[in-house]
Amino acid sequence: MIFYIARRLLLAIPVLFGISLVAFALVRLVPGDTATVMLGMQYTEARGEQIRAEMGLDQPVPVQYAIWLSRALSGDLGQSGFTGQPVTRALRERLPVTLQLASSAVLFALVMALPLGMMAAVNRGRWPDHLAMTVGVAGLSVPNFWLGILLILLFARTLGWAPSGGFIHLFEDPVGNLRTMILPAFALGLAVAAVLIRTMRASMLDVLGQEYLRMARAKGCGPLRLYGVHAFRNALVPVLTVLGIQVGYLLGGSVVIESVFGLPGIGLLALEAIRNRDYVLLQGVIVFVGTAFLLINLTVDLLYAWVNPQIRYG
Amino acid sequence: MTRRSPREFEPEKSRPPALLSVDGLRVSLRSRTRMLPAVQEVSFSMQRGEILALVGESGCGKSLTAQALLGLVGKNSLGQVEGSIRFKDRELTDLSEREMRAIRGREIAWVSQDPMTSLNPVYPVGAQIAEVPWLHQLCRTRNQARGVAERWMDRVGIPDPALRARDYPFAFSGGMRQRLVISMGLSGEPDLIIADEPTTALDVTIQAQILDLLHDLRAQTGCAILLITHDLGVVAQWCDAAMVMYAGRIVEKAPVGELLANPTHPYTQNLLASVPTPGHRRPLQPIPGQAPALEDIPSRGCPFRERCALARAACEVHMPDLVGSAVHRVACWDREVKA
Repeated sequence: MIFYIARRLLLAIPVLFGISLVAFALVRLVPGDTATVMLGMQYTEARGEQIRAEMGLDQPVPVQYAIWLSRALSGDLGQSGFTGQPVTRALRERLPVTLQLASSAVLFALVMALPLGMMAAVNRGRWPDHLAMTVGVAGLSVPNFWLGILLILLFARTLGWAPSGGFIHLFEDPVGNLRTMILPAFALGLAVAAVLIRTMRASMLDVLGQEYLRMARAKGCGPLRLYGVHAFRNALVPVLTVLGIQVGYLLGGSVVIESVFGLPGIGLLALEAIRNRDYVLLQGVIVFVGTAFLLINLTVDLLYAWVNPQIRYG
Repeated sequence: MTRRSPREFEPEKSRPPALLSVDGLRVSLRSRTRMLPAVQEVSFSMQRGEILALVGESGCGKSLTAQALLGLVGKNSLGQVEGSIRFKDRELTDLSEREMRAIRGREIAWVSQDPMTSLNPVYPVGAQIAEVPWLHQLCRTRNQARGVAERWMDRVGIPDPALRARDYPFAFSGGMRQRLVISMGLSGEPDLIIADEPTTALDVTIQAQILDLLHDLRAQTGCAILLITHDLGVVAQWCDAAMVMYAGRIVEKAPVGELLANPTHPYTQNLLASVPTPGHRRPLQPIPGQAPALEDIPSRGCPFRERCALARAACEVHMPDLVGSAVHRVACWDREVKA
């Protein structure tokens, strides 16, 4: 197990290297650079060159990359070209918001999808099935930014149950924090829930037809034990795989949701960095998100080994 | 190896009350348009410690009969069970699902056809066996249940049970898995084991081991075994009595020695003629045609008449009753005429 984790972590290194390389090349294809955005209307060739020289942007791109990489390897992601704030600090400040948003979205999706998908499969063709499939189709077809706006209109503007945006730190005011989080988490999590409902239903249907389930019934298991113990864990295997993929979607989706709800998270940080052509910051964000994605996938794979013992020690 | 000791079958009356007696069992399955009779007028009884074979081709209703005994068909929209199933002086068809659950695994156990898919792949085998005594409250603690599981694993011949109990099903071979399934059946100390083709998925040498094991366990625990099979070799070697089933009906019923020596129903005769005998080179005679599919079973008359060389006018009209001596019964017009 330890070896497996170590091997996966080692394999992550070349992947991260590739991600940073691609990110470095791509952002330089966007027209304009830090100097033009920073100076705006006061831009002159001379002042622009000066700023570029200060930030090392006058060097050839491969040299810039080499410099950035050598610093990054020692844990220094550089300073934001725009605010001068160290990138690592910016990330540390923004991380809790995104972390909480993404995890509550996943939690919401799981809490909703697992029972619904299971009920749908057990009552195939009857109303719980139709209900679950309706949620499944609706959740997939509604774009999350639009859903976010609708939620704000209904719950924040009309009913006044929740704030329309902003973020209150969890440790400052837990109730306030929950109120700011519930709408974005729902908007972000619904599409994930929709996919998971369908996956759960399909895999549960497959498991219900298996011989070991009939065996469990013949042993005298009641419905709770039959579905909750014998079927559930088996049905979870494909759901986890899909969840791993969906988490990638969540990281992208959080960019949209964070800007709809004005949540100061990593997604919003990335958006700002792009708008400002803040290469160093953007680079930092991309590498950070890439790392997060790899770690999440590793976690999912480890969970996978837990639900399906056959692939343990893989 | 211990082999079957052919027991003399006494007349029905002098025997102790039957462990199981099934009377007029009918199982119908719902199709899109109507109820299809999959099992009809099945009646038999079993004594404690008896090994009774239920023989027939695929799709003739053997497994469905077994599932009906466990209450696994019916009570839902898919099927309907009629008739009487008396087990230890209780009428199983009257019991609620909850009461039935207390019987499944505890008093009537099931050993399934395919050991490769009958064990839950995500739980250790010891826990799956221990589930039976735990569920049925034969043990007070989970540790005790685990101990019971390990004892049964030992008794069915799994080496090093304390260690192996923690392994998952994929770590066992087919034969070992069937031993596990059997120990799962036995760990509830049932009075009746229904073994649904327990050896079809296994190699011939392993088949013999498993059937010997069942046979020995019968001797040790005194439980009765309803052995569902299509293999007449298995019937000859390991069973006390046999019922031959065709298209959902029992067509012949006799102690094994009598059945093999004196097969009376044309279907049984054909079945025996189509099995090769080692050491005797003779042309095999396959039964012409095919067993009717569920929706093609004729609603009246004998279902075998279309494949039968002895079919006569009466066969078209009425299904013959199962008649004969107390020991050997057969449902055929040809036999009735001769008698």
